[in-house]
Parts: sequence; structure tokens; C-alpha cells
Amino acid sequence: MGACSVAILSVVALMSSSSTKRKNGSSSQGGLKHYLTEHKQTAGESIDQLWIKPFGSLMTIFLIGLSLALPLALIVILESGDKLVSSWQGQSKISLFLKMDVSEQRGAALSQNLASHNGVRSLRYLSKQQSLEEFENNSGVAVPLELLEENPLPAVIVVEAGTAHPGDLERLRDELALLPEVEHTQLDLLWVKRLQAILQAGQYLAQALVLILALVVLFVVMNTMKLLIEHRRSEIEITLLVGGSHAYIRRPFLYLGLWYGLFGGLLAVTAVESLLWWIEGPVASISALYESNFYVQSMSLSLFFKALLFSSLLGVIAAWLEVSLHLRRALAK
Amino acid sequence: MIQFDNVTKSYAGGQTALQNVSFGLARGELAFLIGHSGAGKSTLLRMIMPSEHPSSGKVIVSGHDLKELPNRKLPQYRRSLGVVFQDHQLLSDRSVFDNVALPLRVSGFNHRDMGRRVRAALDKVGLLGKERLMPDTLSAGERQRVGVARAVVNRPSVLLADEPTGNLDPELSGEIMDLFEQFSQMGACVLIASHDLALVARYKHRLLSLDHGRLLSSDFVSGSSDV
Ligand SMILES: Nc1ncnc2c1ncn2[C@@H]1O[C@H](COP(=O)(O)OP(=O)(O)O)[C@@H](O)[C@H]1O
Ligand SMILES: [Mg+2]
Repeated sequence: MGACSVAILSVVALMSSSSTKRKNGSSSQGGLKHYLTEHKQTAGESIDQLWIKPFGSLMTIFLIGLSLALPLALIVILESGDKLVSSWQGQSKISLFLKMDVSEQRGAALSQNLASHNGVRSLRYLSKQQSLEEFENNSGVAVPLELLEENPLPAVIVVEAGTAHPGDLERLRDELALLPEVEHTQLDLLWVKRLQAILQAGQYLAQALVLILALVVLFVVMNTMKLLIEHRRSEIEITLLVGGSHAYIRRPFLYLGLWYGLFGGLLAVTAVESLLWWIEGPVASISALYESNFYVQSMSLSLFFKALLFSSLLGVIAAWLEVSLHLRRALAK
Repeated sequence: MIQFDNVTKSYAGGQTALQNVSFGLARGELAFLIGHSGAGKSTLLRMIMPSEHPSSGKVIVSGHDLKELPNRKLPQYRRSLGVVFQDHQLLSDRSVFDNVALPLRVSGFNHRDMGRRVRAALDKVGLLGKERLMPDTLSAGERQRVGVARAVVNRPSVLLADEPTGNLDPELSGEIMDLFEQFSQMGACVLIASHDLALVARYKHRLLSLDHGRLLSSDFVSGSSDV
């Protein structure tokens, strides 16, 4: 929480420190310490403001939480999807069929070299003889070698790639195909590509949702701010008349927006985590059916902080916009 | 220090609140702005704050042409002003202390200086000890005096007062007037709107007399036989 709140508070401080404040430093009697005390006090007072209209505040926070929970849930599911793909890493195999004239020693040496290659997680070398045995085992057909002049099957190196990313896999395949010992290569990517495409589509959907619902949150907070400003209209007027700067007027509202955003974000995070906890059991049993080691994980710490930072920023920005609109209207009069 | 050049103010409704008003007021000068109700006294004061601008003409205060003053310089200008509003304009959900401290708070005073100045201002209007009360629990006269304390707490160089003694008995009115006189003696420019001619007559100061938005004269001195 610490780093997050420091970041947000400094954003608020930045947005509420006015040009007048800095330019007219001569009038400022206290300096930085006083400035910080003022901010601390405003932050505290604005928390109290939440209780002046508890129902309205709760509704606002609830709406923010609900709006953000939807895209957040989608993002968490996509994160799990990414992990699912990664969990299939070992199953991304590239088969390298060696040329017929490559000797058994050279094949073994090559596979030893490849084992230390960056993109290779592990590999298995099958000599011509082993290939034949494997073929016989898998097909149940005994190859009558005595009828053939020599073993028709090539030696194979089966490479398990260290990545599941289709692009990386293809690059690795192309690189290995250039080896002089390699006749041809085989990589089966179809299902990985399909899954990646689905995840990609999901990501676009999540981005669109984040955008739309961010606008909803902006609207909700701005509307709440409008009511609060209306409530304090005369106070704002008097404060302006005794020399309060726009930044001074804005400050308590920015903090209020911050609290709305932060609490709304916390609500969204809590809702999504509860959902994950709820579906954890069922997903685990389905996963077991498919012999997958996939399981629902709670959201990553970085996503948690990003979500809170995002919602807090939204609250602050909404407050900034609404107060600025009000001040502009008051000036135009 | 305060300069009006041919100031005319017409409202959207068609009323002309001020018509070709010109006068000047120097540092350390105290003047009464008199006239019947609706003569344009409050409108004239609002041109100085400024919460309104003239329809034509110029208002120049402390060297600033107020119509040209950019928005970002407005707060700084207003901090050099003290205003006693006709209807007090106190914040009903703030204590007496917080109301009086408001001009100091917006200009960034630290807490210690703020407390000292607020108590000194409340002492001058006879309200020391009532810092913690809410404005609603005060009498009309006390609320008015809180408004006076708030206007002087910042030691303004220009002091405007709109009917500052409207709700006060003669004795308290006298104390507030003494306070205003002290301010002008210290170099402030003080302009007091009042329709209380009996009060005005007790002091010897310049008179600006408004009648239906026109300035009749700016040369009378109150307390003389003319009034
Ligand atoms: N905001 C306003 N809109 C329209 N007319 C106004 C407004 N303020 C004042 N007036 C008119 O301007 C005239 C002067 O008013 P005012 O300055 O308040 O007089 P005073 O303070 O001397 O009693 C009056 O006729 C009043 O009706
Ligand atoms: Mg008036």
C-alpha cells in the first residue's frame, strides 16, 4: 500500500499546487513543512467529508467498484490464460530430422551442443536405431530390416523449447533448420496460435472495457462532485473573494476524489478476489479432468497496485475536471 | 490608491446602478459612501473587489487596472483587500476562529501566527473568547463583528465595508469606527458604505454621496454643517 499511496498523494499535491502559490512565494509564510501540514489536514478533512453525505458517498464508491470490477476480472482471467500457455511450455516441441548421412557420433555431439542453447529447455536424441524401435513400439509393426538394405528412418532430435510464444518458437525452429546436419524440421503450432488469438481478443476486449468503464467512473465521480460543490457554493465564493487561489479551492475536492477512487478500487479488488475464491474449487476439478496443472491464482501484486492507482487517479482527475468547470463558470459570470 | 474613471454599470435587467462615477481615494484616506438604499453603494464596492466589472470606464486600485488583471493574479490582489460584507458572508459550518482565519489560511500562514492574528482581530471587535462558537449561535451584531474581524485580520491596505454597523448599537458602532480610523491612520485606504447618516455625522471624513447611481459630490466633509 505504501508506495502506491505515496505516488497518489504526490499526484494530488502536484495537481493542487498552483502557479500562484509558487510565483507568490513571498506571501507564503510557512514553507514546505507548513505546506505538507496543510495537505495532511486537507486530506483528513476530506475523509470526514465522506460522512457528511454517507449514502451518496457509499453509492459513488459502490458504482466505482462495480464498474472497475468487470474489466479487472477479465484482466485477471487473461493473466491466468497467459500462465496456462506458459504451463504448456514443455509441450512445445520441435522435431529436427537429421540427414541420413549424419553419423551417430555427430548426431550425439550436435544434441549435446544444442542442450546448452538458450532457447532449449531440454532435448532427447533418438538415433536411427531408436527411431526405428520407437516406430515399432508406436505402430505395433515390426520392420523387417533384413528385407531393407538399411534403416530408412532418420535420427531425430526432439527439442523442448523454453518458450511457448509462437513467434519465438518459429524463430527457434528457423534457426535450427539452418544447421547443416538437419534435413527438415517440424513444429506444431496450431493450437498455441489459437489460444494466443483468443487471449489477444480478450486483451482488446479488456482494453475497451477499461476505457468505457473509466469514462463511466469519471462521469459518476464528476456528478457526485457537482453535488458537493453545489453544497459548498457559498463557501467557494467567499474563499475566492478573500484571495483563495483556484488550487486552494480545488485541493479538498481532489482529496475527496482520491478517497472515492481508492475506496472504489479497493471494493473492485475485493469483489474480484472473492469471485476468484468462489470459482477456485470448480476450476481445479475441471483442470484435473484435463490433466492440466492449471489453477486459479489470485491477482498479482502488481495488478493489485495498478488497479488501486488507476481508480485513485480516475477519482482525482474527475474531481479536478468538475471543480475546474465550476470555477470557469464562476469566472464567466 | 483607488481610482474610478467614468465608471458606468448597467445590469442585464436594464437598471443602471452606477453612472459616470469618477473619484480618487489616497493612501491613509477614509471616506464614507452614502446614499439611499438602491443608490449603488454595494455595486461600487463590488467593482473594487472585484466581483463585477464596469460596463464602461476604469477602476484602478494600487496601480492595477482591475479589468486587465489576469485571473492568476486575482488571488494575490484580493489578499491585499479587506471586505466587510453587507450580509456578513460567514461560513455557517465553521467556527468563529475558522471564519476569521480564512484570509490567512488561503495565503499560507502557519498555525502559530494564524492563532495570534485571529485572536488579536477578535479582541479588537470585542469577541475574544468566542473563537469556538458557531456563527449561528451568535447575535446579528456579533456576526457582523466577526465579519469585521475577518476583514482586518490580514492587515489589508484597502479596507471596504458595506453597512458594517447596520446591526450594532451606537456604542459598538463607535468602537468599529475607531478601528477603521486606526487602519486609515496606519496607511490603509478605507471606504465605508453606510446609509446611517447619524453615525456618519459623528465623524469628520470625506463623503462620497451617491444618488441613483450618480456621484453628487466627493468633496463634502461629514460632521460639518452641510450634512
Ligand atoms: N445583480 C444585480 N442584478 C440586477 N440589478 C442589480 C443587481 N445588483 C444591484 N442591482 C440594482 O442596482 C441598483 C443599486 O443596488 P446596490 O448597489 O445594491 O445599492 P445600495 O447598496 O446602495 O443599496 C439597485 O437598483 C439594484 O436593484
Ligand atoms: Mg447595499
